[in-house]
Amino acid sequence: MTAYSHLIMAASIFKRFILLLSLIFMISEAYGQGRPDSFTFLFNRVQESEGGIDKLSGSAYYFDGKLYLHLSYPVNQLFFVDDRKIKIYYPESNKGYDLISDAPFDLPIVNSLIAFMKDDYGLANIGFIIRSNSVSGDTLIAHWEHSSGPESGKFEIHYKHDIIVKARYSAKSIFLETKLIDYKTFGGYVIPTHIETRNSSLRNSEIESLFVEQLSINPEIPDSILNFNFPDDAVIQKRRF
Amino acid sequence: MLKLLNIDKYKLMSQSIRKYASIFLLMLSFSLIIQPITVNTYAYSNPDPVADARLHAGQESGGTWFLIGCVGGFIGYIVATAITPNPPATALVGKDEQYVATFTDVYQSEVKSIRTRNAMYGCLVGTGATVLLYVAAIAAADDSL
Repeated sequence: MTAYSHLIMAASIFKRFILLLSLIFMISEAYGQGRPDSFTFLFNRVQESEGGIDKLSGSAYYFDGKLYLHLSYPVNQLFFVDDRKIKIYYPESNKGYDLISDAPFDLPIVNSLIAFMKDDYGLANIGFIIRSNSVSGDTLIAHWEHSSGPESGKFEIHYKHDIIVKARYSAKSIFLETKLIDYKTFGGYVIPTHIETRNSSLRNSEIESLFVEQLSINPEIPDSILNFNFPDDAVIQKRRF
Repeated sequence: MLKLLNIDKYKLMSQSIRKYASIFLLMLSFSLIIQPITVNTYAYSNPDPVADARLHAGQESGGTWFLIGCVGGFIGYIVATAITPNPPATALVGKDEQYVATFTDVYQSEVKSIRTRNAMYGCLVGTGATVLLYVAAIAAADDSL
């Protein structure tokens, strides 16, 4: 082997090393902005399926893992989720529900935003690992599989110019695709203001569009929301799960 | 020889129990991220809480509870009857008082019915398989004597 071929081999190894470093940098850069402790925003959500169109609008406050929603359409409803508790209150009738469970409740509306803000889209926390990376045009695609094998489904995270533009999950009968669109900068954080999720399964297929406005990062949360409680004279039904 | 045969059977049984347990744990942890994504609201402008609750309940994984019944036997069945399922919060956002009440009741009863039914089937299959294993082991022991 000549000195020239050694040089070519070394250059090729160096090139691969640089490519690997840039991939790692792109991924860390995309998530490097960290996760805000709290945020508030106005939202409009539209769901379309064979059954029709469902619209929802209001304001959301997310803080300390808790969620407070004030729905203005289609009903005036206050919705407070705190881990294993949900408080639902209807100001007009002064009635509400106090739901208490042994297991945590899911967080509506903010799910996809929270997943976006988590490191690795929250996948590493539930046992997913990166199997490979590929490039399509100017998009870097990270392919994730569960450590137990591909039968648990696969995730694809698409990065364009260092930000996530798409997340795909596919399993036997489920296909989910979330597009993160219209990025804007709020308080130093680059956040999508339109999140579109297509959900196809054997039973149904639907598209959910979440439009986010006036997003505020780490705002001051009013006491009435921080320590949300029903008015003393409200008629409350308690339910335990 | 008989002892070796029994040790192999115990090994096989413990391996399969571990396999089912790991599958169950994987499905449980996985459902924490997938469930909030997949369970979207099915209620539309004129929502029917009963139909919506049944649709949501239909997403409950019967297979998981079958495995719990299979591995845990009667205890698995008791667990299925004792645990009251959470209604998905996503389905209650933006819904009126009557909807919330009806949806919660129907969802709970439907999911509980799916869980207990599958846990019972799992329990029966698991017990049947165990009995067959013992019968086979006894027959093998008799043959070797």
